[in-house]
Amino acid sequence: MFRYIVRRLLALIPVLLLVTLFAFIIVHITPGDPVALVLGEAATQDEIERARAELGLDDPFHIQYLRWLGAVAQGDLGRSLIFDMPVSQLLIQRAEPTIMLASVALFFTVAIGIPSGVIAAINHNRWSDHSVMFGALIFVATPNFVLGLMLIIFVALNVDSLPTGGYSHLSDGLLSTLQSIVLPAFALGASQAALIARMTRASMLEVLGSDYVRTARAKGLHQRIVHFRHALRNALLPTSTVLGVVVITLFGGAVVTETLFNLPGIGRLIVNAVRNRDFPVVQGALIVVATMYVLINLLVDVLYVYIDPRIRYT
Amino acid sequence: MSSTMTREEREHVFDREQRQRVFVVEWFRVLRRHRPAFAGFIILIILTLIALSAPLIAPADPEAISGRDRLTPMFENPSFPLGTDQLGRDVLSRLIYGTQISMSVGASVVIAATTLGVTIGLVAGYYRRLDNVLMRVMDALMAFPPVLLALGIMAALGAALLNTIVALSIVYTPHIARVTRSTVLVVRDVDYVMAARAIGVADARLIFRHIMPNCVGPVIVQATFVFAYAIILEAALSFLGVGTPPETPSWGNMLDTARQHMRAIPSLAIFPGVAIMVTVLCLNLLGDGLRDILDPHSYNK
Repeated sequence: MFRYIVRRLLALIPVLLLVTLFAFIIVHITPGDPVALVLGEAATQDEIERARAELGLDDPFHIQYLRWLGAVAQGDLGRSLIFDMPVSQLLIQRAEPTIMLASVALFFTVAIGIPSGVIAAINHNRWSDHSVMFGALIFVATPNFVLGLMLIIFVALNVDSLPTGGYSHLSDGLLSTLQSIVLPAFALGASQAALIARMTRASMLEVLGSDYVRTARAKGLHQRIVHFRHALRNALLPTSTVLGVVVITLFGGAVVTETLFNLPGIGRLIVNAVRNRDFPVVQGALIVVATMYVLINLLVDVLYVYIDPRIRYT
Repeated sequence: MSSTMTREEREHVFDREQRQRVFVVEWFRVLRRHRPAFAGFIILIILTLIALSAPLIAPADPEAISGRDRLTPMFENPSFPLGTDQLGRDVLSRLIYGTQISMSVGASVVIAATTLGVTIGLVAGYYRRLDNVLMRVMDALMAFPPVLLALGIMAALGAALLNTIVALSIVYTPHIARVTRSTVLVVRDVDYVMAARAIGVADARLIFRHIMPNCVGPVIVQATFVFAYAIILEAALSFLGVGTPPETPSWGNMLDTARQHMRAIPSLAIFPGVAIMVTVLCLNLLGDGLRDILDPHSYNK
């Protein structure tokens, strides 16, 4: 097990190096001279050239990349051009709304997705199955910003306690935070819940058709015990493997949802950075999120060994 | 030329043409039996027709600004059946032209991502030496959430329709490459491929004649979903103001401008929203159906 984890960690190195390389290239290929931009029009050609040399912008590509990579490896993601603040500090400052949004969305995903999938599978081909599957079909096809707009129009504009946007920090009380986060989190989590419902239903149906479930039924166990103790436990295995992907999809979707609902999180920070060409922020966010994704996937794979005793890694 | 062909050769040509035609007819017949997929397919055909004939059926110029007719609600003024936006532009015409943007972005991204992805997948699957390098690059690209990677690329390239297509193609190439590679890995050791290799068939011919046809099914299914993702992501980028330029009538842009008038005229947001949902829904139905048809194991689950 230990060796497996070490090997997986080593395998991450090339992927993470490529991630940083992509993040670096994206900024590097951007047209326009950043120095001329920062110094303004009054700067002479001489001044610009001196600044370029000082910043090391005249060095060959790979030297620049390695120097930048060295800084990133030490946690230095550079400074924002707009906020005059280190990127890492900026990301931490904006993390709370994003983490709250993604957590509540994940809660919706699991709390709606899994029970609906189970209900659909137990009532296979009956109306509750059909309605769950129809709902899943609709929600999978609804992008979070479309659902969010609909929720604003049909819910937020009519219900006073649910704001159309803005965020109330945790320090101002949990209840008001939840009030400000419930609609965006639902908009964000709905399509993932639909996917989870489909997966849970499919794997539940497969398990319900297996021999040991038939045996359990044959020996006269109560339906509920068969469904929940025998079937559900195994049916949840495939679902649990995709949770890592779900988490990262939620973080990705948060970019759009935060902008729609005016939540001052990392997502909106990134969108504004792209609009204002604040490249260090874009770069830093790309690296942080991709690293998170890779680590979450590793974590899920490792946890899987504990959940499913049939799997043995060597 | 044709007169110099022997009878056998002519028959061979005929045979191949006929086989191809039968193949298409057979696909159509199978698809028709799968009701949801067929319904999705038909609506997509209609949407394509709307996109192609936009200049003919749109009642007005989608970019024409009219100061007098700003924010007309729907059904109020017969010359603007679905109302106008804050610049007095006809919503119905913008919706129709938006179909053009969404469908052409989706189609372009599918073509580019499939060409690139299939090539990378074939090479990675067949040449084990290149496998590691190519797939690590694909893994790294897939480590970014699609929206974020697309935003990053758009930041570098600037907001324009062509750049959106480039960005989305980069985002979705790994999805196609992965599917292609996994099919190649299964097929490359199958007996008839080994036999072909044993009698000395060249690599290129082996890949294109014997291996690639097996990838067609899985790639078509994946490409259908990529089409849907691309439409959603294009709309998302436009909605965030970094995709299609604001004067261009795209569904994402329409949603963005609708945000300021949700209380007064909610229909501004509802029409493009529903348009996106319907298109994506149909593509999903088609993709799910094709997967059922191509994979007998998942049928009727």
